[in-house]
Amino acid sequence: MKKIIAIIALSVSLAGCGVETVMQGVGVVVNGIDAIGTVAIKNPVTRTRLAQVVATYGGYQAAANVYRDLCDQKTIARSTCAPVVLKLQAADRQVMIAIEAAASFIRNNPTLDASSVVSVAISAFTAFKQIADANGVVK
Amino acid sequence: MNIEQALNLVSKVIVAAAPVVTGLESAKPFAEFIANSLKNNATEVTDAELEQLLSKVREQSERLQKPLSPE
Repeated sequence: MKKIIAIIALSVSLAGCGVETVMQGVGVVVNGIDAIGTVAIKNPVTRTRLAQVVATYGGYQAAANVYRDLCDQKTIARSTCAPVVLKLQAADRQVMIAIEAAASFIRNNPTLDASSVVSVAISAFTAFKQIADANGVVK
Repeated sequence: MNIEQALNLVSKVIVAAAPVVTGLESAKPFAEFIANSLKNNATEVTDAELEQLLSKVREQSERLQKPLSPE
């Protein structure tokens, strides 16, 4: 609940320009998707669970692309952001492999429990999220 | 305000904010999916809906994987 109130407050206070404001705005959206996605996951139906993970990851990916673009334009110092972009790219490859594997399993085995493959996707996403959170990609 | 009302309010704010935050237009479909998922109490999604989300993350992944321009 505190996180939700913080998101409302931050959304209302969004104004001005500059990298800091952009990254804070990114944080408002992505943290909001993350917070709501976490609460919305009540139903253990695996395809739905995977879709929620994919949607939440999509929010983080969008933030990572904003960061990558700011880095490419040298709005953020290359010496700071280039190593972070490389880490995000490596983590994204892992998440995409895990998500595609989970989706493929669900498509080919609609009646089998896919919890384990979805868990692998969640672990890969968590690693990506940690890099993003630790490096100010999402503020 | 109970938790459900708060979440509904936040989901509206997030969906509205995504396109106006510089460069974050691509987050809007994901925000909308999560907001709808909440509204529908996480009813089962179809293969087609999952595939739509997957195609969007594939596109974003392609963009993220592009090497940075030379310094």
